[in-house]
Amino acid sequence: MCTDENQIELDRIAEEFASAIRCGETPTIEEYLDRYPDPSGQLTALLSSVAMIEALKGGTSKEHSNLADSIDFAELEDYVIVREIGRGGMGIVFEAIHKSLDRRVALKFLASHLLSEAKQFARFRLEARAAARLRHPNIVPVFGVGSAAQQHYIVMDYIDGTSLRNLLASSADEQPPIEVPNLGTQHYFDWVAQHGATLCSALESAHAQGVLHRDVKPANLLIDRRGELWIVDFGLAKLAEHSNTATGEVIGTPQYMAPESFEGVYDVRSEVYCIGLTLFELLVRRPAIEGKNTADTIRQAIVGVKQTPRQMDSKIPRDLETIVLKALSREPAARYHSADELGNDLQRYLGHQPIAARRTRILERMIRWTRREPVIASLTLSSFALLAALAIVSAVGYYGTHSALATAQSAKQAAEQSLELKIAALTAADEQRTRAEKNLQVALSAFTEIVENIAGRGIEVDADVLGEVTDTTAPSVSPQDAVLLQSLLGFFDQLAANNDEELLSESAVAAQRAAEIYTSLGELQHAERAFSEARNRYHRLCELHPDDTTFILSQADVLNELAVIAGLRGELAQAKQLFIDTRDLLHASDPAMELADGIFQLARAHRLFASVGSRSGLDHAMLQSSLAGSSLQRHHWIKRLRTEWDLDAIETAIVLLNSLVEESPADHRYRAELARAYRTKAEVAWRAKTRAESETAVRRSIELFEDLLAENRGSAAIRYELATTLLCTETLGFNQMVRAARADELCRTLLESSPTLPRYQSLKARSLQNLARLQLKIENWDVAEAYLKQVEAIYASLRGNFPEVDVYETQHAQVVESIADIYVAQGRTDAALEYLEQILRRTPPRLRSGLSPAAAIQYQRTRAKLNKLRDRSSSEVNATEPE
Amino acid sequence: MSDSKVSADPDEAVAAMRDGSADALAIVFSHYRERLRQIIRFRLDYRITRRVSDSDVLQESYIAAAKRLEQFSQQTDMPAFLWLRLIVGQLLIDVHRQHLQAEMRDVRREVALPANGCSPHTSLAIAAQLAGQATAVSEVVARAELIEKLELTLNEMDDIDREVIALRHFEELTNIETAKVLGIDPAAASKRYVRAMARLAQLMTAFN
Repeated sequence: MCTDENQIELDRIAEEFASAIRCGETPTIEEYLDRYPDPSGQLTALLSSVAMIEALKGGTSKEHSNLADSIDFAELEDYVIVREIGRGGMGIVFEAIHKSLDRRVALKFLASHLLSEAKQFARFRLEARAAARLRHPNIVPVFGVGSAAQQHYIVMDYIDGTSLRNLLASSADEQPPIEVPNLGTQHYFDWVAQHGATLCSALESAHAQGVLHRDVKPANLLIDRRGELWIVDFGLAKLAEHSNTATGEVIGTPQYMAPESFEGVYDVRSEVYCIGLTLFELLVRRPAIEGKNTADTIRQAIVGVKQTPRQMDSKIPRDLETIVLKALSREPAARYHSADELGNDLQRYLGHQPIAARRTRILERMIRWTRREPVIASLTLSSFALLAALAIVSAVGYYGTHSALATAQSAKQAAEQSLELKIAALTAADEQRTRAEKNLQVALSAFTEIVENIAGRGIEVDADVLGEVTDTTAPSVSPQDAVLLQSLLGFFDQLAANNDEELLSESAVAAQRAAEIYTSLGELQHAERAFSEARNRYHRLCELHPDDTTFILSQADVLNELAVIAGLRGELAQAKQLFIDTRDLLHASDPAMELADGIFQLARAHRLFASVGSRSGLDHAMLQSSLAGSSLQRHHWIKRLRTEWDLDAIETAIVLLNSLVEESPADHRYRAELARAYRTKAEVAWRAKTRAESETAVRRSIELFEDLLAENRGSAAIRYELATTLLCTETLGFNQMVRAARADELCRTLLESSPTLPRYQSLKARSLQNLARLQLKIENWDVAEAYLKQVEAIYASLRGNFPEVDVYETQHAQVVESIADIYVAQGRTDAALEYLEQILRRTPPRLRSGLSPAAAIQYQRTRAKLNKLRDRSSSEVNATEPE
Repeated sequence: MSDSKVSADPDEAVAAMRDGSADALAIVFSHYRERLRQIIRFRLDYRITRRVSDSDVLQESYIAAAKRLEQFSQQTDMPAFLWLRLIVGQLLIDVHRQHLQAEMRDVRREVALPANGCSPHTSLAIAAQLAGQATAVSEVVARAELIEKLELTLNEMDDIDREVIALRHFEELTNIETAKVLGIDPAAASKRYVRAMARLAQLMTAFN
């Protein structure tokens, strides 16, 4: 039982405990429990919370000011302190005389928070010992470690000189403490390259001995009076790493960290990157990464260096810039693989020899596609040349749309001839018939190839690597490609319309392709019809050939595609039925379930089912209010939405996909689908208010996509997916800033490559909405409003161009509502009303038949809001007017 | 007013301060200096910490307090520390208004110290305070997870409970002072505090 007195007493003990901590004492919970018995465990919980908050609060600033005071120099028997040389994140450095050896040394006292635990101290000794073993003319020798009065210190050689950081900080007219060539001269650039080469050789020798520096930056590089370069603080940065983090070795100063270090990855190549940062800074006399505050710096550091040295100073030699930029590649694999390689290139530059680094060739990526045409290459029919030409021309893309179109037309004619021949040949001789059949198959597979390539163009050429990449948002093609696709559509439609049993499998494939084209074009109703057609054909094929698993798998694939569309339209009841059909279909066939593809389709079905809610464009609040039993509940379909079902389904999908990934870790399709499944889980868990679970799932999804991105460099599909995950929940706090920045960056890269792609436009809208949310949290109304107005414009244009994609309609209405909400929050009811009315006039909701339930619900909600505002506005008017 | 030597004892100094002694104010102010600084650090928006230091605000607060000393003598039930805290709060609003005018429409809502009620920005301020303290990224990243968990936990709490924690741990007020600021009974404040901290412990374990 907890009486009031009991509470007050507990509070008093907590207050005592907290003030002891604030006074710099280190009280332990155990001590307190000895003094105050705690049968209920309340005190333990209370004190552990106090300890946690106070520990988090205890920042470096206090530590530092206390450090200098707390060092009791009297205890340093063998050393006489001469002066303080400097201080930094790690502690304070003093110049001192080692009395018995009569030599000048530098004593580095470490900030006590770095070594508060015995375990950390043991590790510190170990690190210091490793550093002490390093022998190199440019590495500052470490003599040993010691401790006095609870303070630990490192004894190292005293270097009479200054750090590069100080050198950079000294202004132009100030006499630098050591001689440096005039800035901006060839002599200066050579001086930078020379020191860079020395730095590389010293680091290479440490790397060869298995020691990483972990904090290469100008502050840790000294120049002595003779102009020699020295490296200090080997491995010390590792101390700053908290022993209790799971993130691994994330250490260093954000300004001088490689992008991958933020994910806990650190190796020789990260060190190469840091050398690159240092060289960059020396060349342009400004840090390569410079943020307005810590968060901004981290954001920039994660994105990587955007500027090139010559943009800031055109006198910098081009070769030197090329070397620095190679070292600064965002992807570790694109950098020099060792400090030595970098050093050698610097030497080549100094010796006026051609350097090994070369500028990235933009065309390189374009050519990649032409390497994959094995299907076509293996065929030898008359129409092959045409088809191959068509495939290649269309894949190379925008440069030759017209000629591609012309080629496509003639290829189509050839294929149609084959079709006619085949039909005619049904009654004719076998030989002719076989030939026509082959021709038709070639046409089909070549066209399929083209469709896949075009559908995959926005997402580059990895459609075949990743499988279903055109997930959540249609449409995904540029207007030029749309013309090309439409010209093929006629062929597919014609073939699909053929009811001949002999052509059943071809017409099924054709219907499926046609449906895919319609999806790409954003014509969802046509797509749905074509997919249903394909589904019927495959169903019939399954009946005719019960043992052929390919037809079962194709049917499952088509069912899943239908579920994708149902999700886009917010047809929850239909989505559920499709899910059940797919599941029953696959469960009924043991041979299909033995295949990885069978399991994959089953997992997809589960994920699509679980994600219907989020894919329909309904926001969380709306789903929630619907579930909570508001007036919207009379829509019977929404009653069916049970978060628990979704959770069960997505768990199943994750288990299945994990087993697939375990079996074939190299298959990117499975990993991408697993990452999507985690994303869905995050969304569902967020809705279920289990935030921690949601966060874990988001992280898992990010990890998987980041890995995929690292392996498929430049893959737009994965970029897109990763950004979608980054934006999938409204995470709170620090991570949100980092994620928002990453998403924004990904989005920008994607739009740079394909500015008109609707899919990226809508991604950008989501990214802006996320940024607006951050601003709203701090009630930065104006900025949030500006962001949301941009979002409104994007959705307004999308819904205009793709009237059948109801998600755009729904999302447009949502953002309009959010903007009105901002006005209301500021007490500007009239402005909100005016805005809503104006927008509704400009873009009236489309109340056509077949409007998806999600859009209908959103429409109702907007109307309700408008009416409420009208009521409020008129009552305000009444209140101010005297009767 | 009074030119006699003011006692260095805080209680006596407060009494003299209520009588309008500027010397007494100096003694009382320096007595509470570090605690006031803690409040400023906590409530000062991270966007302007580069332009305005906590010492600047302290100094200005002192001048403002001296100008309004008369008010203090009228508020006989107001403890000196809480009165100074109000002055600091007012000054913080001025500073924010001055520096963030372009960015914000209603500064008062953003930074207002909870006088009788809760600030809607407390959990954000806590996160900013925690994240802003560490200079090396190692610390930022290592703490980020914990800070984020803490923020999530705080967000799930009742407004008053959250404010109680903020006042007790980030402004470092005592229970009595907290109760007074929030306008609730000290026993009730204690109860809320113990309950909120127990919940924090529980939620943090759940997150781990």
